[in-house]
Amino acid sequence: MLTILKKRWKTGVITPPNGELGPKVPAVARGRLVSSRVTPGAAAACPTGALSRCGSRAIKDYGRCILCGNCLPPGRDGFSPEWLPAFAQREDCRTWTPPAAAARGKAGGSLQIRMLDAGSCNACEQELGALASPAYDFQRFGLDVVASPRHADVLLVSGPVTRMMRQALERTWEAMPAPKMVLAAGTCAVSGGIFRSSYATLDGLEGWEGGPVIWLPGCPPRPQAILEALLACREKLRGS
Amino acid sequence: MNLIRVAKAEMLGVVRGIKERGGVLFTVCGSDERLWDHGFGLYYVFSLGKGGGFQTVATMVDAADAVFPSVTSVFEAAHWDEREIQDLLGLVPLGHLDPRPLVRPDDWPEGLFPLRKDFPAGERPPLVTSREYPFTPVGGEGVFQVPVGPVHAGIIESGHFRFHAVGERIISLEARLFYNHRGVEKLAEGREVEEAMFLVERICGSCSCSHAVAYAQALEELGSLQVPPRAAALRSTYLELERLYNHLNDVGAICAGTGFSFGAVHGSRLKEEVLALNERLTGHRYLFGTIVPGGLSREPFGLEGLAGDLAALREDWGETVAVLLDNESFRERLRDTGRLSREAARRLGVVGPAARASGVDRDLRRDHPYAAYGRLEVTVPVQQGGDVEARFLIRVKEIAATFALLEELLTDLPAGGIRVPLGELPPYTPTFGYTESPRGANVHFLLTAPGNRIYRHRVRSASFPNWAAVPFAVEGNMLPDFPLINKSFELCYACLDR
Ligand code: SF4
Ligand code: SF4
Repeated sequence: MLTILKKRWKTGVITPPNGELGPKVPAVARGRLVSSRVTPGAAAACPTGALSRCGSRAIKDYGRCILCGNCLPPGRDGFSPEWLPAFAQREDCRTWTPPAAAARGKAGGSLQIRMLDAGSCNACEQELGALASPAYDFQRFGLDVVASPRHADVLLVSGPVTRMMRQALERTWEAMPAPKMVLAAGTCAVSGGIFRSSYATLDGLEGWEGGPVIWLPGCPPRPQAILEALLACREKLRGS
Repeated sequence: MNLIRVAKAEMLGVVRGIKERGGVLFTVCGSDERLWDHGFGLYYVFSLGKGGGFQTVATMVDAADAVFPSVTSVFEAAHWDEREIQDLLGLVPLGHLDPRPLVRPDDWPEGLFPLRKDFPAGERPPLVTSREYPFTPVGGEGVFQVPVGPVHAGIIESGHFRFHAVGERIISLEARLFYNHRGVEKLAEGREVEEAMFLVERICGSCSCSHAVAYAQALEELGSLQVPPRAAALRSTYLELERLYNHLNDVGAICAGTGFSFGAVHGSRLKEEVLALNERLTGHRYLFGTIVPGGLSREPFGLEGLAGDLAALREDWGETVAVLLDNESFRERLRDTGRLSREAARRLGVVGPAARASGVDRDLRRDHPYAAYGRLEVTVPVQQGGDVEARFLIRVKEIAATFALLEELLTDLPAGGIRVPLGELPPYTPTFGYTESPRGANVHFLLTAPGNRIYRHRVRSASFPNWAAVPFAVEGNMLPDFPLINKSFELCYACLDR
């Protein structure tokens, strides 16, 4: 017991102060692709069809980008550490341009999450799992993962939605009480990502019509991005 | 590659001979070769132990007679491989004791085999009415069934567990997995080999670097390439960082499984520190985009200070683990729980920490060195208990060994280039590459087509043989102990399902 207390005292508080989502993000982090850095004509090099054709540098769809850097010059420098926001419409992933200063989430209220892995590579889940660690501690924002869909406000879906998980997705959604929404967490859940057009998957939640969805690209979206997206869900649900 | 081609009828005899020489099943691959031959190629790869190399046995299955002799009577470890071949390629293993579907979705039409070349990529066959999966019936007085999943209460990947229990005691467990099957191997086909890397590193987030290196090594072997010493050393560095964050996670998860919050919280805190180091070095917390065929995509961003940070982390971990090791009530809870016997581990071809915890002394880094491991001192801890405590202790000891390896790697990092060009690869030539991932042997088997494109790609990760062993460790235990036992294996569903 004494050794436990000693280690606790020595470790101290590592959770960042209120208002901050998590630890500092290094400048080299791959948050989002910067379109001005894309090699002109690199569309053919993109494994997911996220770029516009015809020699332009334009990003056609952030919802398809897996941040692989194949459209960048050797060394693959061309990412901003800033992560993408959660989008209210799938279409917004196509039309978004980086704002001068991003508005970040506010505290207040609670939100219960049901997690559904629909074929993720598990990095998306691990980033959600990281939110429970003391480095982020999402419970301080009133968020938690619950053991039953009956208790959930938001369904967090990761992965491209496999054939075998489609039914589980429908049933989980049906079991949740209104008001409710879905967070498509990660490029896979948004568009299928690198698994797009497989025989065994759908293209993420793109064609899903079960209910309102918030779209969060990223491969994976970092914990801060998921946290911010969850806070956005909370704002939305409160307004409904 | 050390490969012998034999007639289908001779297959079993040859395989029996390999077993007598102490061979262990390494991977299996079936491939549609009707393009240049009269049927399907079947490849069984065996490891011949430390310093003994590998032996591949290949045979041809005629398209007009799409059956083959199951090798499971000799190597039981091939049981899931052969069921997978049946589902995805439509070749029937004769004499297989459990020929039920494995990978095929429940609503998949009969007679359609996605890994055959006449099944077009991108095709999504219409849903048929879902078939009930034929679970093994268990009867008797007082036996009840507990179905769990595929969606779980928490942040867990998808899979279904069917328990049969009397009171609280589990008398059988059947794991119905492959809910996360994404058709990765078909998606790889036709892709240019360098582009396919982006798919390979997304097979599994927790073993991403292990997959990437195994795949890259398969191509380098095929092209007779040697990556520069600096690239080899940095690959080993990244692989050890991957092992480190996984093992820290798993130790924390075992603590969480017993309700020991001190260990759980410190485990997740330390894992987060390693993820942050990964990101500082490569721009990615899970090391995506770091490995390329022929070497590395770029120099690491920030090596300065890394050795110091790792030393601090090592001390921090030392203080944490001392508390865990000293806590007798925690240790007591792990002891005798979820025992996997050495005999079962061998028979089922279990790999990695799970095998080493059951007294099976195997580690690819030492037995068949790759990357920079040939010049390093790789310590391989072995435990005999086979229970949760043994799997916990193996990880604790491997974390110490990994810190030592990282120190050795960083004190004498070779200078020089980090990438060599791949060149034109010989088409339709089988090759494979492997790594010892945090969970054990991870093998990528490949055939390429002209123009450096993937023709066939089979991935057999450590979770593949190990998942099949979990039910054996669970039987006879209490139902509430299942999460703890499962966490002590900490297998990936994503790796297995693909
Ligand atoms: S997916 Fe890769 S190649 Fe395509 S836009 Fe994103 S970073 Fe560029
Ligand atoms: S979005 Fe990326 S990180 Fe998330 S599940 Fe898909 S491949 Fe994995």
